[in-house]
Amino acid sequence: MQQSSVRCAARSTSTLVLMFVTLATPHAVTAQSATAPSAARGTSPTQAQLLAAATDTANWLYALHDYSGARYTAIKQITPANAARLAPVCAFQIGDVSTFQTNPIVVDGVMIVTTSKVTVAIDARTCKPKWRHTWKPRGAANWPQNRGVAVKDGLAVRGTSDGYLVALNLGTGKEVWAKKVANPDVGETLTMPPLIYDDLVIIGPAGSENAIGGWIGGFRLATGDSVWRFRAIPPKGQPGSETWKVPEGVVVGGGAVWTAMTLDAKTGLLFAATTNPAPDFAGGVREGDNLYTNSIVALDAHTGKVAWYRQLVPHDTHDWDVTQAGPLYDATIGGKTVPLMATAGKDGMLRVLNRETHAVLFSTPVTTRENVDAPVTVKGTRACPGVLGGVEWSGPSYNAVTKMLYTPAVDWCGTFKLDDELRHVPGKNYMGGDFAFDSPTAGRGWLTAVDAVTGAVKWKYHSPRPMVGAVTSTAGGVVMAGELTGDFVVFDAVTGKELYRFNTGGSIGAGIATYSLGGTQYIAVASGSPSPFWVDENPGAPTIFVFALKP
Amino acid sequence: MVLRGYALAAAGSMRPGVSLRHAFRAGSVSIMRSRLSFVWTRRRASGVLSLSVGVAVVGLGLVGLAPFVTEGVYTKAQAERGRVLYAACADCHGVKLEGGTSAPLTGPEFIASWGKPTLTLDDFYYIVRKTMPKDLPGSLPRESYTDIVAFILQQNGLPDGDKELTPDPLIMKAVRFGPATDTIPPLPPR
Repeated sequence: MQQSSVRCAARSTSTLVLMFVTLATPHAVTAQSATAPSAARGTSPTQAQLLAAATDTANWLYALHDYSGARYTAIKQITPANAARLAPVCAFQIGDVSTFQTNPIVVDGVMIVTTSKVTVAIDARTCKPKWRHTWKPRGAANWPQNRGVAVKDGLAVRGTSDGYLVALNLGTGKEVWAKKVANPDVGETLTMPPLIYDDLVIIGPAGSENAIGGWIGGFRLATGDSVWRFRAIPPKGQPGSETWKVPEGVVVGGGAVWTAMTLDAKTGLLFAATTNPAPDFAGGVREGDNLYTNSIVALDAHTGKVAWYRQLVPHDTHDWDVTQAGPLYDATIGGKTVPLMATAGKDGMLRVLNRETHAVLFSTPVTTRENVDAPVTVKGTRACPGVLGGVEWSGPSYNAVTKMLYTPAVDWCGTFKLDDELRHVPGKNYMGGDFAFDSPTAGRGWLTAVDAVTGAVKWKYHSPRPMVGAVTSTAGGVVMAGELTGDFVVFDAVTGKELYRFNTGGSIGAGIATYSLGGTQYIAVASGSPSPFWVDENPGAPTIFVFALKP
Repeated sequence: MVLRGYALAAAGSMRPGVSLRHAFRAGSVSIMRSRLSFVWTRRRASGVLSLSVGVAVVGLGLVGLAPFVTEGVYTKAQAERGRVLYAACADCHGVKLEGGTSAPLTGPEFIASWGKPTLTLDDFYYIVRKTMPKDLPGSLPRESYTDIVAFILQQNGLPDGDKELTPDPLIMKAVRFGPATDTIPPLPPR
C-alpha cells in the first residue's frame, strides 16, 4: 500500500519534474542562432578607421576610445573657460530594469549602448532611437552586467551573461549570428566589451569568484567560430603550472577577465588584465604565485600565444583583481622614447610598466591602503581596500596634452574572514570566506591625477561615494567623471578645479564618450545603477544623457 | 561531498521529528525498499541502523535515493514567512523574482542555473546565506534563510508539503535541486 502511494506521488509530480527537466537542459536549445538572415550591411568602421581611432574626433570607436585605451579625445571645443556653459541636449531611457556599465560607442553619428540583455542604437545628437535588440537568454545566466559592444565592418558584437557572443547588423540591429562561446554552467559569464582586430573578436569570461579557469579567446568576426584560446591557468606540466601547489582534490580557479583590453597594432600585441585566483581568500590551498592570475598578459593578437606577462598581485588573498591593461602611451625619458603601459586594479595601486623591459616604472596608491600584507584569518583581518576596492571596471584616462593619468577609485575598507571549512558548489560563488564592510555606507571615492612619467600626484578629488564610472579627458583641458551620487562632473585637467556639475538623477558607474558632429562637441554619459553592490538610495534606471555647450 | 551527504542524510533522518519518507520520496524509492526491507521505521532508529543505511545507500550505487525540490519540501506557511522577508531582496531580484540589477530567482535562467542533478538544496541554501544580503552576508538567522528559500521554491511553482524546510544540513543535502539522471552525480571535488 505504501509502495503504491509512493508511485502515485511520483506520478503527481511527474509533470513538474518534466518541466524542470525540460527547462533545465541547456542542450535542448540550439547552440547557434538560425534566425534573422544577414541583411545587407555597411562596412564602417573599417580596420583603418579603428587603427586611426586615437585621432578620430567624430567617433568613439572602441570602449576605451581607441586600441591604446586612452579614454581621451583630441577635441578641444570644451575648455576650462567655457565648461560652465555645458547643458543637457537630450536623454534616452533604455527602458530596461538592469545594471548599467556600458561604454557607449559612437560611429557615423549613431551611438550604441547595452544593458545585460538589451542593445540599442540612438542618434548621437538627438537621442532618437534607431533600433533595439533584446537578447533572450538560452541558458543559465550569471551576473547581469554588460560593458558594451565592439564594432567593425558593419557589425556590433557583444557578449551575454549566458555565454553567447552576438553579432548585430550595425545599421539595423538585426542578429547576424550568435554563438555560445562561454559556459555559464561552470560559472562563466561575458561582461566585458570585446575587442575586434582584423577578422577576430577577442573576449573572455568573468567568473573568478566561481572558480572558473579564466581564458581569453579569439573568434572569427564573420561567424563567431573559435580560432584561439589562451588559458589563464596553465594546465599541469605547462610553464606557470608550478606556481600552484594544490592539495589533491581541491578545486582552484581564477584568472578571469572582465574589463576592456588594449592593443598595440605596431607589435600586434594584445594586453589583458587577469583577475584573482579562487578560492578568493583561502590562499592556503593554492600555495605559490598562482600564475597567470592578477597579471598583465601580452598575447599575440592573431594566435593568443603569450609574448610576455607581468604578475602584479601574486598569490592574492583579497580578491584584488588587476583590472586595467592600459592606457598604452609613449613617454620621453632621458631623451629616449619609451613605450609605457598604465595598469591598475582592486588593490588600489596605479602602476606604470615599461612595455619593452616589463619593469615597473612607478607605483602610486590611488586609494587608502592599510594592512595589505596581513594574512586573512578565520577570526577576521581588517584591510583596505576592501573586496570592492581600488580601481574597478573603469580605468585611467591618459591625457596627451597634460601628460597626466586620471584614475577613479573606490575607498571602502572592511574585514576579510576565512571559513572554517572550504566548500565548493560547482559553478557558484567560491570565496572561501566572507567579507564585511566597515559599514554599507562607508564607501568613498577618489579621482587622482598623476604625472604619467614620475607618478607624482598632481591633484585629487574626494567623492562622497565610490568612483566606479569612466573618466574621460580631452585636449581641451577638461576631465569628465561620474559619481554614484548621480552627478556628472567636469574638472580642469591641470588643476582639478571643478567646472561643471549636473545631477542625472541616477548613479553613474558607466562610460563617458565624447565626439564632434556638425561642429559641436557632444558628451554622452551613461547613468543608472551599475549594480546593487554600489547603490542604495539612488539606483536610477539606465539612461543616456548627452551634453554640449549652450550657444 | 555528495557521497557523504547521502549517507549522512540517511543517518540524519533518524532524528526525531524528521520523516524518512519525507527525506526519501524519490521515484525509485520502491526499488530501494525492496532491497532494504528493514529500513524506514523511525522507531528503530539507532546508530547501527544509521550506519547500515549509509552502507546500503553506497551499495545501491546512489541511484535516485534523494527527493527533489519538486516533492513538497517546504510548507505554505513557511513560504509566506519567506515572502515577508523577501521584500528586502526585491529591489535587486525583482518583485516577482524576475531579476533586475541582480540575477532572476525564477524562470528559465534560474532553473537552468540550479536545476542540475549535481546540486542539492543545501548548495542553494549555502550560496544564498554566503552571499546575501549583499551588505552583510550570513547575517540573518538560519531559519530566515530557509523561509526565503521556501518562498523561492514556491515562486518557481514547486509544490509545498507538510513538513517545513529546516536549516539542518543533513536534511538539506538530501534534497536534490535538479532531476535525477541515469548517471551517478559526480563527486564535487573539495
